[in-house]
Amino acid sequence: MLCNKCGKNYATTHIKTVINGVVNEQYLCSECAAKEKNSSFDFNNLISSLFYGNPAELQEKCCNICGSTFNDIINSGKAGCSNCYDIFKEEFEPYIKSIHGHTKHIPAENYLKYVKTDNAEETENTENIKEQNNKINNENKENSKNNKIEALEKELKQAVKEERYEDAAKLRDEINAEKNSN
Amino acid sequence: MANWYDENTDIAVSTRIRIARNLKNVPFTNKLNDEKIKEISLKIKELLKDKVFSFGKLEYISLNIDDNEIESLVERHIISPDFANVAKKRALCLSEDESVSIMICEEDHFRIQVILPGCNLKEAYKKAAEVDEFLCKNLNIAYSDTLGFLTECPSNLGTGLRASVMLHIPALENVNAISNISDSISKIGLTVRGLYGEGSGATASLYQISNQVTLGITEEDAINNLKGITDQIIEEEKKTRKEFLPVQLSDVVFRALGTLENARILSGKELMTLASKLKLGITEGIIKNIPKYVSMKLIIECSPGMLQKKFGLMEPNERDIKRAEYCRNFIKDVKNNEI
Ligand SMILES: [Zn+2]
Ligand SMILES: [Zn+2]
Repeated sequence: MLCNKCGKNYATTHIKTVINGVVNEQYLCSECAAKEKNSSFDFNNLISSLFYGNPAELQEKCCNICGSTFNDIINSGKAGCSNCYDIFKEEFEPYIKSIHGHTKHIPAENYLKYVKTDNAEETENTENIKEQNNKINNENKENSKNNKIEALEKELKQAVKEERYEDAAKLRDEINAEKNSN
Repeated sequence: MANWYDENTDIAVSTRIRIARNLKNVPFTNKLNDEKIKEISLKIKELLKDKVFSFGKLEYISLNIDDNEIESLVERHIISPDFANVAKKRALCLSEDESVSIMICEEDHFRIQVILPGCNLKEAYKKAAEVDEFLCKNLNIAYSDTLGFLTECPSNLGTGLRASVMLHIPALENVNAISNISDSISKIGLTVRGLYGEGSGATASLYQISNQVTLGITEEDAINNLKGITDQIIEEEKKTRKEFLPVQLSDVVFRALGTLENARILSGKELMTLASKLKLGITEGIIKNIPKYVSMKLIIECSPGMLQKKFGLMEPNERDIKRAEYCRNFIKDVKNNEI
């Protein structure tokens, strides 16, 4: 078989990509395969194509957890999962406004104590990424140390907020140990 | 062990609080297969196994039960008609007095419900919030800072809270005031709807007032609004009742009582109309020897599912005979103070 791309060399690799459920198969020669791989390392492009598809596919945008498109949601009047509200944030807004007259939730004090908010999760995620970076990045020790302390301090705050005092005490010890280490 | 309809009530018959909650990033019920629904149900069963709330335990009940039993749950307002249609593959958690429940995988993954007699919003909300807090602490519940609790239907976003009060308002109904009420309260995010077949003439004058808006308003404000409006409607009903001509009113309610005590055949519709008139007569002090709870109890216990639960499967015409018999005996026993 000849290479799908250049049509000159014999294909040596089989590259299969799945974007938004669309399977794309290519048989390429080693030269073209190398070019293809380099271009696919454009991360921004990759991530946005995962979530939004390319402009032509925009109308077929679907939820990555339940697979609903906004059309499905409008037709049934029902969201497919909690993630749909995030994926179709802009599309939902006028509908929500027409139902409730508002688009912003007013939380009651008591719920803030035991409901995981978006922010809490973001910090969690960024902290995970930070942690991974720390492991990889051995050269930047000072930075990693500060990051670690920062992360621990955030955890400590959360623990105090949730009244997990035993955890808080442990975290405080860890922070002190970290600060004193050289 | 008394149900909400075993209690003496006047114009405000019952209060219901319903809270909708869902698991984060798990497809909503409309996207779930039976297996996944079972998995969620069993998870809740396990979670509630040893939990004792201030009102006691919530017992896990698989609804793979008799059609009659399911129908009677609807008639007692414990589950929704929609849930009844799919009940065989669903489960319910229910407190011993049947006042607190969780429907698992109704429209939302969890629908916490509290139903209490009279207008009792604060108490009902307290109980529901207790269950809600337990679920929120033990499960990953879908919540966003901007939209609050995320629900299958966008109309429940925010608090996910639906509060309602069932009112017996025959005088307002009689002067065709319901649509006026409906128009004016819809402007502040409340709604009114007939409890039984609106427009069929068999409403039993029971109407449910509830909040419509759940986003951009706190639970407390939503409940206070509803309470304020409910109190006003009750006052209006009381005022309007004074416009009834005394003799005519007595005639209507005593005729109703006479029929309930003597009829040999009673359809469901007729029973409801009569029981509603009886309730008016008792609340207004015209009928003195029958306690207040009797009318609602008759309405609930004489519904088809409840009757068949007691007396076994019957053809509709047999059931009408049984209903009349049950009614006669019940009122006789009440008058003899045996109940
Ligand atoms: Zn090639
Ligand atoms: Zn979704």
